[in-house]
Amino acid sequence: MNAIEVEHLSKVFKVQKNRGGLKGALQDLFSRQYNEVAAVNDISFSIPAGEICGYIGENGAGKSTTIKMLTGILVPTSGRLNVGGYVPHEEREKFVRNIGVVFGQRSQLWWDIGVIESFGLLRKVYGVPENDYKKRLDELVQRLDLGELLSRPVRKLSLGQRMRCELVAALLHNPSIVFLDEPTIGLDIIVKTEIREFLKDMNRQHGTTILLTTHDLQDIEALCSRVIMLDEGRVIYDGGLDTLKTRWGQGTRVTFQFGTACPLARLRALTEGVDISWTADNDLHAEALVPGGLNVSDVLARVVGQTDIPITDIKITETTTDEIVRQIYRTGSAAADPGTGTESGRNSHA
Amino acid sequence: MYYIGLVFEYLKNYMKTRLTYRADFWVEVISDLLMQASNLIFIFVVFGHTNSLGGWSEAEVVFVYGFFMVPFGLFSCFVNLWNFSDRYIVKGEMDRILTRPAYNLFQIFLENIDPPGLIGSLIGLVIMIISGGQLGLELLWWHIPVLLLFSISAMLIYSGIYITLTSLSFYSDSPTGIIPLLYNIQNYGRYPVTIYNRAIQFLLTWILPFAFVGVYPASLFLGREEMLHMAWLTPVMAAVFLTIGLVSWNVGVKRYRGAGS
Amino acid sequence: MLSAYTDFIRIRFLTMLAYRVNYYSGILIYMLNIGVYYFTWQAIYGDRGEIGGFTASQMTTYIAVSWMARAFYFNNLDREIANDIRDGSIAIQFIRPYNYLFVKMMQGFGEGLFRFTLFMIPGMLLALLLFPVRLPSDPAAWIGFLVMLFFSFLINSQLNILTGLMAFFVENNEGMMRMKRVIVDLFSGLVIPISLFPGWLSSIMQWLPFQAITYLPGSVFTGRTQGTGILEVFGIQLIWFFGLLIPIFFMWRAARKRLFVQGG
Repeated sequence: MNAIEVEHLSKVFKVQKNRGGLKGALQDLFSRQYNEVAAVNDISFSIPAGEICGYIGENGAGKSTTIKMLTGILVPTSGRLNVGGYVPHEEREKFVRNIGVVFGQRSQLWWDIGVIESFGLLRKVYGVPENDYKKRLDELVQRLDLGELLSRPVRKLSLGQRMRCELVAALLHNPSIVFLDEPTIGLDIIVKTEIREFLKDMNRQHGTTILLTTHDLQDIEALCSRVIMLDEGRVIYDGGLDTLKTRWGQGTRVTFQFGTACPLARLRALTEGVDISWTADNDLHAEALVPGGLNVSDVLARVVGQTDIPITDIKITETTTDEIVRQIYRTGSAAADPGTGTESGRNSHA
Repeated sequence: MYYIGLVFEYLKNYMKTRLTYRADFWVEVISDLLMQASNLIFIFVVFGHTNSLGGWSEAEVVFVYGFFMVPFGLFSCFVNLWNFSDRYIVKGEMDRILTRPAYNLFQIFLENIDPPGLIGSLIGLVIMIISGGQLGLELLWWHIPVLLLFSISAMLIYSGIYITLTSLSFYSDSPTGIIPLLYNIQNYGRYPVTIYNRAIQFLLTWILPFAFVGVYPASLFLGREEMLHMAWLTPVMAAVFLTIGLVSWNVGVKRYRGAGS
Repeated sequence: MLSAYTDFIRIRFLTMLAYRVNYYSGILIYMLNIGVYYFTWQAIYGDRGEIGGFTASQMTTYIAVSWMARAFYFNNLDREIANDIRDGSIAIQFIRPYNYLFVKMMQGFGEGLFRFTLFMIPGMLLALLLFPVRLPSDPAAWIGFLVMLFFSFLINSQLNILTGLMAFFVENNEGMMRMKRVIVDLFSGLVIPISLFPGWLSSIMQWLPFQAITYLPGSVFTGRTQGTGILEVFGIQLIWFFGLLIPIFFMWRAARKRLFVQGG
């Protein structure tokens, strides 16, 4: 069963043009000009129940707009939507009982009163029965270690403490689908790890479907089996994280440290016929970039076997997701694949 | 029932917030009272120079003012849209409201509930009793249910007008609305509107019907025949303007959800 | 440095231009205000010639010019300052290489400039068409009024700054801001000219800064104050302008101390 289904979803905004200068501003006073901008442009995907899916893209790629449509805040310009069996914007009040939403940059707690009071109020708003609420709250408080924070007003909490409370607030009614818009923004590494662990556990225990947007790819690596990547309102990648790595990873970087000088030309000659690019800062140090389709051992075999090249150190580094994503953003599309490796290429060398 | 429960829940939270800032609570109450007092000062000064304002005596005008305070207190307690544009549109809190399972406008009312406003209503009642006494008005049994009906109707007229105008912030990008400007205008409904010229009377009766939150309904208790039919129109106007308000609000929200921010 | 400050004026002017709904509705609402008071005073005057030293015709002019002056000097500096304090962004203002209050004043002036050219002047023209307003014929009244109008703006902004800064000392100064608004409208003579108040009250008000905002310039415009009298009332404005700098200075100092000691 799919928790979220999106078909040909588009959202077009009218953006007001501001004419510059005093004259322009005076003109704007009487007549306005608008541009149409497609924030989300014909996207389709579906997310099965129980999946954690990462939704990534640069600022302005259309992530927040999608989340706002999925949570019923915005009405799509065109396309079909189904979230947890509802069309979000049509039956908003009924629909939102089944979802939880956290906007990382905005609080849903009352600023001046104890956190627990906010929770109590949300219980009423969502109509959660007293017993369920108690049980759920206990569980969450214990899991997120909120014990003595509960009576403190939100303004006295640190960002990390607040974010943990925000999560509780969004989950009190035990939603089956949770939307997290940059849940780890601005947090330190310890709190980030805690929150990731918590989300993973929740997904495992309750089968909660989670869609999260983030700029921190560590979140994605820790949580998501699947990523959807957006650029200028279009989906440019939708699939597993592993596939992303193997398809768009620039391969493996092998760094050599030599005992005596070894010129680049010599290294190039040794690897004649293999598609490897060498770079070096000096004669004692060289780096080989092995494309994803090749085996690292092939390279090593050719270099390591030479008696006149004493190697003092070898380091092998995998391309990180960060680098991959940066690369994809730079080229603007994951479809325009540099061609270094394809599914079949990888298999033949496996 | 669900909504009534929420009212109490939000009130409870309001009290808790307020108890943390007790001093501010009193500053607010006192400033509200001073505001009312300053309005009374105008009446007293004016009647220091004349005996009648368009055929109305000082006690009558004060009585109208007392009535005026009752629905205004109710309105400022339950319907506080003063900061709407800034807080919900510019700062984006509308998104949070829209992810909650209750009618969005109702949630906004509840989040801004302001009970000190009710003190004004109480003072208004006291003023009515005092000036009514001076006028030798008799309290009849039907006065009480009618007062209740008119007060609630007048409060709904305020609500209708302000909801309509606030819903403009879904269209306009300006952060500070025209609402503060209206604050002056609503006060004009508590003087006998017959002193104004036709255009202003028409405006205060049918377009921004603030005459229905003051002089028209109050005239019923004063027994002023010339406005009797207008007094009974108060609940009708309430229904009409509340409907206009809610419709334009819902259209505005629809637009917001269509255009986003 | 100076050009940075004048830039604040320019930017606020342009910002104001963007708020077009306010602008359109503002003029209408001010006309309505003038209209309501015009008719109210007509009803009060009946066929009496003079009340509190005002003839009916002077009163009409006084009402129109007072409201249009308000259209110019009014601003929301108190609210802006209070918001900066409450959301903590005031701390950022302290590390910038300028004086925060001076910047606020400049922004207020940019708004005033907008209000003067696009609000007050067209509004005044409209008022001339709608109501029997009599413009002064004496050039001294014009010059005196315009100079004093500028000081109305300064004094009103000073009061706004003082009210806004109160947000440092109480959690929520919303009530105070509302109160200030009502007091300024009433005691400045906008709603009732000071000379109409009962004797004891009007003599109290002569010792308060509010009359310098509306009543004094209004008296010059209506011709009730003439000749050297103009210099006298202008002197009162000057005294209040310099006098109000003192509490602002001390309050600002206390506010800075509070911010640095308690972290806001």
